[in-house]
Amino acid sequence: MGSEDVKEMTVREPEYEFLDPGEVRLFTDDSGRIRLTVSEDRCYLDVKVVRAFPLSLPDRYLGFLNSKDRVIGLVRDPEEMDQDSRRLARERLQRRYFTPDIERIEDMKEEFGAVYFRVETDHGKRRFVVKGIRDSLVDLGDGELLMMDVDGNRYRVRDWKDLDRRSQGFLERVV
Amino acid sequence: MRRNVEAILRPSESLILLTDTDITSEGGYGRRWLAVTSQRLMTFPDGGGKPDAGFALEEIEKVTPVNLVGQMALEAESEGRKVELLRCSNSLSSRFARVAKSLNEAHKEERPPEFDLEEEETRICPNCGRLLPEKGSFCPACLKKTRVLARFWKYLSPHWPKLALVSVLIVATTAINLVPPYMIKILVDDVLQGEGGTDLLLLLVLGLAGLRVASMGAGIARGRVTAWLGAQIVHELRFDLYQSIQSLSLRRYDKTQTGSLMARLTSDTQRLNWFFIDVGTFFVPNLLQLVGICLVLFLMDWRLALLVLVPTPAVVLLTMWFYRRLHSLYHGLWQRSAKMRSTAQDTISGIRVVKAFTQEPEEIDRFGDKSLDVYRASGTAESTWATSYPLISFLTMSGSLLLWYFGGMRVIGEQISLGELMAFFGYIGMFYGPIQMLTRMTDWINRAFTSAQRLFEITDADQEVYEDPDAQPLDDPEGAFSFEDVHFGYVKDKPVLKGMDVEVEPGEMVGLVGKSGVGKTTMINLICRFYDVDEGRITLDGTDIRDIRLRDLRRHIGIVPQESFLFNGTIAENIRYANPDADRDDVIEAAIAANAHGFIMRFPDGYDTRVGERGARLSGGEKQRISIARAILHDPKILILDEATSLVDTETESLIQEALARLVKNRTTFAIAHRLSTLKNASRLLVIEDGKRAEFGTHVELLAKEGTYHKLVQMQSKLSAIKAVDG
Repeated sequence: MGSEDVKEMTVREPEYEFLDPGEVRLFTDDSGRIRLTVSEDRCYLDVKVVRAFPLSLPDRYLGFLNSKDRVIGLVRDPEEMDQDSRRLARERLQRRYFTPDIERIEDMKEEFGAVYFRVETDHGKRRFVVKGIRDSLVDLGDGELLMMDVDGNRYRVRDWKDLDRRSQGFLERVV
Repeated sequence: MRRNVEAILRPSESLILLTDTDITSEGGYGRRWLAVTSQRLMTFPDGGGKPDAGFALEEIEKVTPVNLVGQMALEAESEGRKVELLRCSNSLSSRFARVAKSLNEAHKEERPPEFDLEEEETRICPNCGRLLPEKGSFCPACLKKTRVLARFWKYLSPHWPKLALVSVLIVATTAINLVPPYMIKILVDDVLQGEGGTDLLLLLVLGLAGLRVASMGAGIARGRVTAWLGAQIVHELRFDLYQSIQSLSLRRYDKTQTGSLMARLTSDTQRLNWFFIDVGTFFVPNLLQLVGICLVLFLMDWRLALLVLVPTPAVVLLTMWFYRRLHSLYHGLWQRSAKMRSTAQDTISGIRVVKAFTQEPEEIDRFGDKSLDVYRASGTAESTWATSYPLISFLTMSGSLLLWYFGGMRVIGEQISLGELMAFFGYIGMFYGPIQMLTRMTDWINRAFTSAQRLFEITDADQEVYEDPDAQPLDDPEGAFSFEDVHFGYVKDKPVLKGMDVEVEPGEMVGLVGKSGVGKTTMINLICRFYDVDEGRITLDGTDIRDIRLRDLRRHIGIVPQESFLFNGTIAENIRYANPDADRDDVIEAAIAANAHGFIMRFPDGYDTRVGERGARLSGGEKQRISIARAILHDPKILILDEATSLVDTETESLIQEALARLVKNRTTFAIAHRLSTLKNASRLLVIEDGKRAEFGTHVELLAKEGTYHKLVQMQSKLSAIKAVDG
């Protein structure tokens, strides 16, 4: 960034880049922190793994953030990373995006603008309350639904057409 | 659980905290316990037994709550290692954020931790477990219908003479309506088949005509009185509601969408109006009529009456079923139509963008899909209606078929007269209509109650208290502001300000500098008390602003907002907005000081120029200067400047700068500037980083410091150099 030629600054290379999945290595170091190395010459500590499209394409386009939440780079297809990195990435993603899948709606009632759910998810049974269901329920298309409860917890329905009749009936009342 | 944990403690150890999280060590839903003792921190699976993890307290250097998507993790740093203690869903995140904070404080001060989790605000009704509309507010279910009715009654009771009149009219019409079939019985039995003669015939027909006229008159009177009464009560409700909306706290505005407030103001009140009219005109009269008809029928011939009533339950059940089904179908149709409308609206208002990117075919397809949805939903709903209506009519008819057969038999058997049969037909004809209507009554009443509830929810919501009797009045403030360790976040656990400390002298102009999202606007929101701080305090002349009467505080604050918001009216009205009593001289003087007078005078209508909706007919620079004039006329002690980002030409810019310089004089000013050049008038600059004060001092001091501000200035001067090169 030479100050005599100011124009140069405007054409600076973009900061974020696609990383070569073959050169990215993700691992836990001795102190329990997540480390990321890129082609053995760059190394980042306390790395976060995030999804670029958490809802529409959760398994691809992973981003890595450094300890200050700055973007390090993107990997298009994590399947191309080595096995250990892939496993760790999956583990971190599962922790970060806690969105249990609703498998069955045991009970649902609507009262005073709030909807009370009692459901069975792939993470166990849960009760929650949704307020303003029209805004809190997102139709992701292809029968997939995402719900946000009053505390900001998330629940997903993979495909509401695959649920049992009773659960579908409950959903039909609010969708 | 407590006993289980206490059982494994060492003799010298005491249990300080035992609390549960809702996510197990496997990551699924379930209970897990966190115990903090005077020496250790441990986690237990539900049911007790052995701890699944344990640390000595002095080993834990720091506990950090990590916000994830949909859950939170509590991480501890111990001897250079990072470990996850537990996870919890967002429902419990505030509890564990507090646990972390208490642990860290205790560690810093080298003492055993103390926890205060009691003050956790409850959002669940302790009575029934339902969600409260607001934290710490009333439970709508527990004050239930009696409360809503009582609230209704408050609006109804002043109108009792009209209510009484309506009741009398209702009873009168019902009574009148019950007479004609009986007269028909007399007509058939005594005149047509007996020897009453033409005189009696004429008398009966005249009597019938009279009754019809009376019934019609009473009906009209009842309808008119109900219409006015309903409209008036709803007007009163709506007025109260609007008053409440105006004094709603901003926090509440963030949560409630403007659209939903508008819906309450218009459609919910409308629904209540219909409800009043329906109750007055249909429900109550119909109910009375049903009771009356049953009574008469049973008195005439109880066996025939029983027979005639046989299809009633079927009619009721079927009608109810159909209406429920139809309701959901029509609701679906309504939702799809709304989606179609918003798609069209979106595209049409953004038509320039659509055309510029040649997306017309895609937009047409998108609308086509939505329209197709509407078509399908509409077809299903209408065809179901087309099936159900004749079906119900047929069922109703079946009552009269039964009557023809069994009634006919009884007439042949001379158990009843022909006239009585005719009267029966008359009554039956009046019977099924009201039945159908009443089946929908529960539904309608419920909806009216929900609407009423939605209205009362707003009128009951946390209002700003302008006239708190305990608050101190504020007459002539000096304008010394101080932030003392202020913490604040719009959403819990996502703090924007994290310990802001700053002291501002009276009359000083402080420029707020920092990246976007760093908390500049938040500071201003707190100064205006649009929101209250979460922790710490803000003082004005040494008094906590929460103890100052809100009306007084706001009276002494003037804002020149980033987006100059003008109301639809004339320029003079807009300048006068905060001081409606200001005379023309004052308005002109303010405009002159704001460098606005010149362009205003060039308008054909001068100060009487109408600015259009949101000031649409004026340019950005003009609007800005009008809003500066508004602030000058308001003459506040404390001034807030949120510099507009919109670019204006150099000359206008200098006119605006000059106007601002005049405005700022002798006022404590907080200015958010996006161009650092604007801040050259500022006496001191506050550089904010990470929700805290990073640097605070004069332009020269900060430059000399070569810190964040220095960097920002360098960057901006480069950018402006580029602009100069690009010309």
